Amino acid sequence: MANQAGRLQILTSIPTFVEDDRAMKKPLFKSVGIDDFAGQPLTLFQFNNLLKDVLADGFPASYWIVAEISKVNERGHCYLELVEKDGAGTHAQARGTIWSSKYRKIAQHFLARTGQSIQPGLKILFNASLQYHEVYGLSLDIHEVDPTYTVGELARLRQEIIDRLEKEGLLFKNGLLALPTVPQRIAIVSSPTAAGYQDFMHQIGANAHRYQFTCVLFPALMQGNDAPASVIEALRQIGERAAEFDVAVVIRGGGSQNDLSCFDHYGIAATLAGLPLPVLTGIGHERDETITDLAAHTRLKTPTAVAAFLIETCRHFEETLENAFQELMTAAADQLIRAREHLERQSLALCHRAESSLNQHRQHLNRHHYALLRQAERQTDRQETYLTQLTEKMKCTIQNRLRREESQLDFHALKTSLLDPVALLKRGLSRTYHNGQLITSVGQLQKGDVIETQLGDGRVRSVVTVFNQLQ
Amino acid sequence: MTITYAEAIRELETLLREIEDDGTDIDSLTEKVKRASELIQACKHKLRTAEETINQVFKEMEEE
Repeated sequence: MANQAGRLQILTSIPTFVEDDRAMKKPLFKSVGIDDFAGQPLTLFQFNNLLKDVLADGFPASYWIVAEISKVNERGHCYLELVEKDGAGTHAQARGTIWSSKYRKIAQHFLARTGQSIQPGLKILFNASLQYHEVYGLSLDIHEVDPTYTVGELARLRQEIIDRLEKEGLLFKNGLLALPTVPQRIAIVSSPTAAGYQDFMHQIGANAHRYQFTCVLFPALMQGNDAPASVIEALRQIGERAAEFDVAVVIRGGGSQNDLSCFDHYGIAATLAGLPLPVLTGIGHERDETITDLAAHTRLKTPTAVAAFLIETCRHFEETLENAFQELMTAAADQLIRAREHLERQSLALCHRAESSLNQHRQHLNRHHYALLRQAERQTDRQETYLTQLTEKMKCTIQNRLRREESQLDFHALKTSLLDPVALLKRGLSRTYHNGQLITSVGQLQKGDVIETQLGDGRVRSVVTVFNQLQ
Repeated sequence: MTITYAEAIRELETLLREIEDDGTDIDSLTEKVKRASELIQACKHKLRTAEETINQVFKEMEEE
């Protein structure tokens, strides 16, 4: 019994949480008077009833107790397995019950304050009184749960995880990755049936800029106790195919705000930090950031916001492109203007140069023209002179020729006149005939021949007396 | 007249030699003198018009 009292002592040994000190005033152990039953064994029922009485007397009030929930079983009433662990394992355990008459109110209040439903893994501070049933044994009848303790406890646990992640260099590791300029290949960790996933797909598929995104879903449970392992596995699979993606997103939402504690998980955050891809979160809550959010590259409130963020990133790149293009166009236009001005100057200069060159050539040509003209004049002058000379020569030649012909004629006339017999006769020459024959030789005549001599103005007859023949 | 200036001059020179030559008879002499006179007239005309033509050509060139 001393041992039993010791165990009871443990349950009540936290003075801070002892609300009612009546328990301390009352004797923890009241002798039921074993002697009253001396000699006669008790039935189990009798014994259990005895125990029940003792316990009812020993624990008449209610106690504030801290314990961790290890199991929850809701069947109208809520049955809890409560434990306390030390380094080695469970070193205290009890069953607890929240009756349905109170459970709904307690659960709602707890959820509202902690953001969590009453679930395994949570440490709670509760007010309970001991119940002993002859068949079912000991259980704690929970009247009240103080969510403030759980809130603080959760915060402490959360801080522990954060401290550990920070110490291991995992908290901001993903945030240091550069977000791709155009994140178009998206690995999604979500539940295919989650409204948040549908919202995301709708938003990304129906974007006004008509950007094309390639989305691959890595299905995972997004709430409940199995969520962390499921999410870790999905992240691990993404890590194996990291080269296929620009970015990973963890999204859920559209559901209740509760049950986010699974994302205050060291394993998820550590796995996420190890990914070579930037991870965006949109796990749909307005409350504090989860540790998953903290470790992620960028935290957004909802899946829709994640989609909008990705679209906006693409849009930003496109704007950069458009601006660059605009600058390029402006620069090109400037260049064009400068080039045109340059060309105009050049063409003007060329025009001037051509004009002056043309003038030079024209002057040159004029000089040639006049030279040619003078040459032509000289040539015509020469020709004229020659023609004049030729004409003069022709005249002379003709005159000379005519003169020569004339003198030839004169000569002929003279010759003719000299041979005229009448003239000869007149000049004293005579002709002698003998018997009518013209005598031209002495031999034709003899002494005594009568000869007739013809003179210019008549004839005489003579007789030959002397006869001399020339030798 | 289709004869060129150079041809006319050559013919004139030939006629001159022929007239100088006393072997030519007087009857053909008259013909030759007549021919020479024609040629001289033609050449003179050509000389006058040549200058005018040359000037005209240069005038046209300047006007272009």
